[in-house]
Amino acid sequence: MNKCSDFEELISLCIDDMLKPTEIESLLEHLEQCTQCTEYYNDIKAIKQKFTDKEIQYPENLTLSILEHIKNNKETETIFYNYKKFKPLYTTLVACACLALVVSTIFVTTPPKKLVDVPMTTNEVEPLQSAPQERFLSHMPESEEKAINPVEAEILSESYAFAFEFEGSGDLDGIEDVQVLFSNDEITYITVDNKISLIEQVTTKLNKLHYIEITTNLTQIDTDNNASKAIIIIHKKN
Amino acid sequence: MSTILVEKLKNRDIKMFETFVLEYEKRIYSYAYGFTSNNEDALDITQDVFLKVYKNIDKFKENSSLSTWVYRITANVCIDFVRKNKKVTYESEEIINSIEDTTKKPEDIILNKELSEEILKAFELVDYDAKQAIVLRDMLGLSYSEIADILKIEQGTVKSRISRSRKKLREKILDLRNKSEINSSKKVKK
Repeated sequence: MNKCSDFEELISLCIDDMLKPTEIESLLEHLEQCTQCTEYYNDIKAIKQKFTDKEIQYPENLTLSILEHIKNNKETETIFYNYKKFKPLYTTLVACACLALVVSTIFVTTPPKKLVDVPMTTNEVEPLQSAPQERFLSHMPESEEKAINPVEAEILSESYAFAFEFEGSGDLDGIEDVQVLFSNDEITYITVDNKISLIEQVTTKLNKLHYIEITTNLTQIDTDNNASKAIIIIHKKN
Repeated sequence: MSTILVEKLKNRDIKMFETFVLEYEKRIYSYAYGFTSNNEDALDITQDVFLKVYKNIDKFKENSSLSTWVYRITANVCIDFVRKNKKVTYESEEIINSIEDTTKKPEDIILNKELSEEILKAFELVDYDAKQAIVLRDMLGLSYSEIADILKIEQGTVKSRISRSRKKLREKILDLRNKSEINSSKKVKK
């Protein structure tokens, strides 16, 4: 016959929903006869509930205080800086680069090169719609230029927190919590919520499916830290 | 197997590190607060954990998940903190004296929601392992297998440790209540 102490661990496991049906049956049978263990069960359950319900007030600016702490540490201050501080400088540099690009375009004497090989007439493409396509293709070396359709252009014109590129079979079996935005024989675009655990889960599964991480100019798409999604671009290779 | 996320962290990608902080900060703070019950100390621990992650990310060999590794660091920082700051542990007498007199019987104590403060005070009196088990399971809601990975112990050991920890906490609560009752009756006699 079991002693009451033998049921303590079962009670603890029971409130965590970790018991097998046969164990639950045996525990219930004992609890029906033993007021002491029933009391123990109720107490342990109440204690657990207390901790589960405990609400914690997080300090304001928790993120900032953590980042500042790292930034101000003597060992890390040389490599860690608040990049936001340099944002105005960054913006200025980007503006200068754009200006240089515009000036160089004006003075180029060769006829304008066709950027996009998409089956549509020029009349169908509004200047604003074609801008993303040009933006991305302008990064590509001539040899890497590939056809990009308006859907892809639209996808690439969005902001993402991170951009990753993989090369592999295109098989996405077992890859969960992603949204497939577009897929054809050559490329698939998927997004995932900007949570490290989720991104890690997806990229780890891609590695297990023998995908190889690659870098092309698409990886360099503009990223925005506040974006809610990360994009994963999969180049299909047979 | 190296994930690109970890690679980005190892390359000190600031954007990725910010995302990482945003995702883990509340969990780490909750863990720290579970041990210290003090906002200032919890913040100190949280800052130290992220500093250690930032400095030591190169040492992360990816034999476990990133979250397990981060929790292990948190556990180490917490235990260091507890060792250095004895103030975290209340003196038994101090707690007993701070409990208001009540006419309730000892067995009623735990089931009364209003007396939750006493549970937290009793929590300060249990040993580090018990605290750790209760924080990981009941406060952070981690699974038995996650806890086993973090503490580098077998799942069977996790089961018994959680059970023993809850039992110890219940005993401390009842013990405090009994002592408080005795103190109350002494005061009445005087």
